[in-house]
Amino acid sequence: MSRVVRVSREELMRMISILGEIESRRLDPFSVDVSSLLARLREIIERERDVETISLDAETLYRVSVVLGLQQRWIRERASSLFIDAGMVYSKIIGSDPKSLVAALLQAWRPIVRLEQVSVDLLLRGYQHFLSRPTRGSAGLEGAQLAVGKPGAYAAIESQISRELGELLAELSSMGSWVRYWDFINMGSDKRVRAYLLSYLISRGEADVRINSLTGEIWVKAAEKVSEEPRTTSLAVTIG
Amino acid sequence: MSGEDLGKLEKKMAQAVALILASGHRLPGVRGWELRRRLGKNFPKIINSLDSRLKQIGLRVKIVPDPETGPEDLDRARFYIVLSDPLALSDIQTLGYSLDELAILSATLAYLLAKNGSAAEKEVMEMLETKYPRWRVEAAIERLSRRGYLNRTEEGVLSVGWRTLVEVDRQELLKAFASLGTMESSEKETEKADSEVDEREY
Repeated sequence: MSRVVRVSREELMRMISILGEIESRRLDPFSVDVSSLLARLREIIERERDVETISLDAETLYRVSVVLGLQQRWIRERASSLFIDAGMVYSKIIGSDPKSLVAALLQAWRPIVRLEQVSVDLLLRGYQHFLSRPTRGSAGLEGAQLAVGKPGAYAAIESQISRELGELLAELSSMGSWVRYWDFINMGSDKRVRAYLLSYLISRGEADVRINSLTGEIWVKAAEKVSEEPRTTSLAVTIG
Repeated sequence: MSGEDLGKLEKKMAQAVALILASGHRLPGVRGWELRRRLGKNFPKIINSLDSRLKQIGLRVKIVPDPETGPEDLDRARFYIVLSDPLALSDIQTLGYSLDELAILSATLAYLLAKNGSAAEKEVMEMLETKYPRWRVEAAIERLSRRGYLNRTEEGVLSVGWRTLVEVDRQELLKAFASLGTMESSEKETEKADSEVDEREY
């Protein structure tokens, strides 16, 4: 590749970058001289006709057209802003007290009116929709019957969970000092159940957690004394 | 118009109000096509009637065209209900904004609108810091951005947000700013004249 071609491409890329900056950072679109830019583009494309230069040239032309559009919008908006410039507004702001600034805003401000609560009409529509929903299958009904008709089943589950929690806590206490979280979880056959139960022990303050923020390692230990202070942080651990 | 037609129109207007005021979107207002779907193809007429009715109680329908399709495409335009008359200074207590926050909003919007809608955030902050401490300015800008009055970009540009485009009349605001000094002095003169009259009366 000749040096001239490389310089031309670099120049085109610089143009694209400048024009892109004007668009993305909403800078003054008149800060670039479009006519001299187009003249330079013509010079480059007349000299270099390889595919890469042509595609860069097309990209530059597109950016120029965007900036021209911005210039058109700029003029339109300037006209509608009564040609009051930012300098004048700045001096007005400096010389006015907050009350006057608010008074100026109130002259032009018409806030949106919006209902932000449920209306009776919406409630009725929701209720009708609820009634129109088909009843779910027998599994749901059985669940409901279980809740109403077999309260003893819940008590059995609860006592089982309490027992398992006690066993896990005893196991953790038997370790004595700090143990790696993943080592402890992997000791049992069902990792997910162990992780789930351990999260309960941690939430209840019966197990302590320590995290090494540098290595990301998590350590757990049975608490010597159950903390009565509420836990204000939470820790999410992904179980594979 | 027969009584039956009038009844239908009333019903449609009630539907339109419910749609515009209680839209379930994150943003307030409703698109034209949503109104068309519920009210039928004559929805612009219903909106006109609604607008006349709302004006009696100090409200009006505001139609904001979609920037891409322009004012002709009512389906893409967004319909809002806004206040039709200016608020008084004594009303701002009920709006949930402090006087300082509104002063910051006023100054920021006027400055941005005078610069065609956007400026470097740093530049705006420096301007506002001539009046308020930095923490106050940052908190206000953050809150106003969340409410949609301002728009912050990662490139450090502050521009007017969607809510400003709906709620604030650009020309009115700039006109009010242009007459700020004269407005204050005329207000002071009026106050002075009033007090002189009072003194003479006593």
